[in-house]
Amino acid sequence: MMTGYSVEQLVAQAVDNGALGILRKPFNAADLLTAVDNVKPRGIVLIADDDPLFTESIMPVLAAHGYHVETAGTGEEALQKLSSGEIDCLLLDVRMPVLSGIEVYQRLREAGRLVPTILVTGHASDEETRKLCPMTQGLLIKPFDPAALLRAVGELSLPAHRHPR
Amino acid sequence: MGGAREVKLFLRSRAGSAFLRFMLVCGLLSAGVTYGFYRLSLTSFTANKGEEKITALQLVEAFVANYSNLRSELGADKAPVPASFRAHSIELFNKARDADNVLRLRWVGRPGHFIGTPPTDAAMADAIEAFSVEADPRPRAGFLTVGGQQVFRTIYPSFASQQSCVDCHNKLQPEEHWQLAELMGAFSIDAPAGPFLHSLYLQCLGIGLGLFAAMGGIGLAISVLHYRQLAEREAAQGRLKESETRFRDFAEVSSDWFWEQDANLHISFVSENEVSRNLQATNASQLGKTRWEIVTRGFTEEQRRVHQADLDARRPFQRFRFQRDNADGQLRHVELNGKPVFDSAGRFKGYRGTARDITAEIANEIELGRRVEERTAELRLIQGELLRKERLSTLGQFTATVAHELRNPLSAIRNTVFSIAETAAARGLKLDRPLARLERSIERCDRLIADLLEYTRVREIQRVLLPLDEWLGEVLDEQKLPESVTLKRDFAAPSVQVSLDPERLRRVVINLVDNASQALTEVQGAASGREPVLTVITSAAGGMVRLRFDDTGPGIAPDVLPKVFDPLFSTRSFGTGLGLPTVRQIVEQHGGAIEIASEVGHGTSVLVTLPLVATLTELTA
Repeated sequence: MMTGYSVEQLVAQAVDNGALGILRKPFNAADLLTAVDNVKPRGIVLIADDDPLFTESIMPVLAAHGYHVETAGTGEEALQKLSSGEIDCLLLDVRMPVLSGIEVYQRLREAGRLVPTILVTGHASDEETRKLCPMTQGLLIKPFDPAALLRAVGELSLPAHRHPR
Repeated sequence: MGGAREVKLFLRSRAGSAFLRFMLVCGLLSAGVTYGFYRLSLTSFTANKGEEKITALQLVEAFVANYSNLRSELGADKAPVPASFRAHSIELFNKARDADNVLRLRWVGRPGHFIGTPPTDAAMADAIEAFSVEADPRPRAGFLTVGGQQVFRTIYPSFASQQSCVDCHNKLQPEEHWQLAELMGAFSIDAPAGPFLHSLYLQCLGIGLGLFAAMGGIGLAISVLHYRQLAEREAAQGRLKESETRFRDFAEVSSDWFWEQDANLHISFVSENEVSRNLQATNASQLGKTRWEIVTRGFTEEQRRVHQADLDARRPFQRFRFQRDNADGQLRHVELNGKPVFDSAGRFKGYRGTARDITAEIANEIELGRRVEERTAELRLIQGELLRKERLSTLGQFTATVAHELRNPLSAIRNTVFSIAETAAARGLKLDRPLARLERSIERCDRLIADLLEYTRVREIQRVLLPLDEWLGEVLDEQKLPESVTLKRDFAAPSVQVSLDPERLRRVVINLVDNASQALTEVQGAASGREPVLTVITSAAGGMVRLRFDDTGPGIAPDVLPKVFDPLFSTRSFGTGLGLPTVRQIVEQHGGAIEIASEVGHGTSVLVTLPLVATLTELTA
């Protein structure tokens, strides 16, 4: 995909259309190779968060670094998407209405379908989060540095996936 | 008086013995009087009878003499001899007497001499025999019993008084020759004495017994009265003595003691027991003095006035208190109660009442008051703490909700800034500075939220025993101080273990170091010329540890200093004003205290004092 439009538009469209890589014109062969390398999905990350603003803002960050991103606005939706068995990593908001992130995690554990999980929360001192934290692969307090998220996900060394679609 | 026992008691009493003595005297007196009467009566009787007998005898002798003379002158030898005349005369005389008042007159001859009638009994014969040997025989008289009858007998000697009579005899009895004035025989006159003596005995008995009974009765009556009086007096004395003993016993064992004042309000009596002796209230020197002479302190002028007014008005008074020293020189509190005393005529006689050592009560009252005050203060403190906690708890919930709500969009902004930065870098756009500004703004927002959460967070501290110096060193090591600032450590509490919540106290250290750093960097470049130094000092003493943070910053203005612990007060445009309030909150949660001292141009010193272990206030809170 090549374009001369503005950065903002490009980013937005790329995210919306599920673009896996972006090459800025003019580009050379090296850039293209890098892009192609990046385009290879590094894994499927499910973002479970009830705040669409947050979800939308983090999607392009992960996508730009080669991850395929799925989203869930509720705990039930998250469980449903996880049941497909294709999710490699779960970015789980601790506090969600109806079915909280903690309950989602417990159900997964009970079902024996745990995937590498990184907890995300705005409540640093939440007791239950503290208890759950050591079992998961990390805890990020909002507003966290996206670079930290990328480091945490990168350290999980997820299997390179086939394209889900 | 009833019962043999009472009679016995009476006889044994003083009155009884006096009565017995009196009865003895009565008996003697009665006997004396009776005997006197008896003697008098008898004398009167014998004198009377004697006179009568002499008269009778003289008459008989006169007739016989006359007869004898006439017989001789006439020479009438044939006429009866005078003795026969005398015998007939006597016989006629005896007959003339009445039966009741008889006088038995006899003339009896001397035994052995045949003349007249021989003696009728031995007593008579003995008397005549006695007359015959006596030089000057005298008549004799006496009572005797003759033929079963009591008689009063008088015997008179009879002499040959006339020559004619002697001649006559000698003529008739020549073998028995008489001389003139020779004893011939005797006249015996018996007067019956039986009825008289019988009546005299009866009279004497009557007089004696009557007198004895009358005097004895009067004596008995007097003695019984006396005895009763004595018994009553003894009983009264006994009761008095018992009452006194009882009073003394009560006074001795009581913790109170008793006192009396006379009509002039001079102290006249103080009962003795251990307490009163110990308080020197029984000292003899105090007797005779007024209260104000021995009681000088422990009351107000008003109390003295009220008490004096009571005394002047002769009113009872209660709870008059004063102080005095005891024998050991210790201060004691004494309380008096008293009432006026009046005699039966209503005259004021003084006061009497009780005294009590109330030192222990006073001490208790003071102690109680102190404890109530202490407890009230404690409760007030706890209540204040609870209110503060509740307020913070409400604020905390509110803050937590807002913080969470803010952190979500803040996170979205940060993510977006990150994406923009990456894209800009890829495109070679020069957006570094605006993006960095954005990033700083986000961080400031985040810190504000964190400060608010920290300040409003209410949770019980979780104490852990830690070596203070070591722990503090580690926390300081983690702090990123501006390069210009020098950190000095002056630790003097090695191996001192402190019970504290490391996470919370870490916030204290961070905030204080942060404040100092800010102050030291503010002054950097200013004309102070002093090295920007932060000195952290520790020490331990008296169950407390002290942490001091001294900086060489510009100091805090005196008008600002009192406000530094007020929430939301800040001298910095970007400060939240929650740093020091949070510090104080955490320190106080640990039962400690924080003080801040500062001088403009010289620096600021913050002193945190913490107890080594949990305090009572903290445990009860």
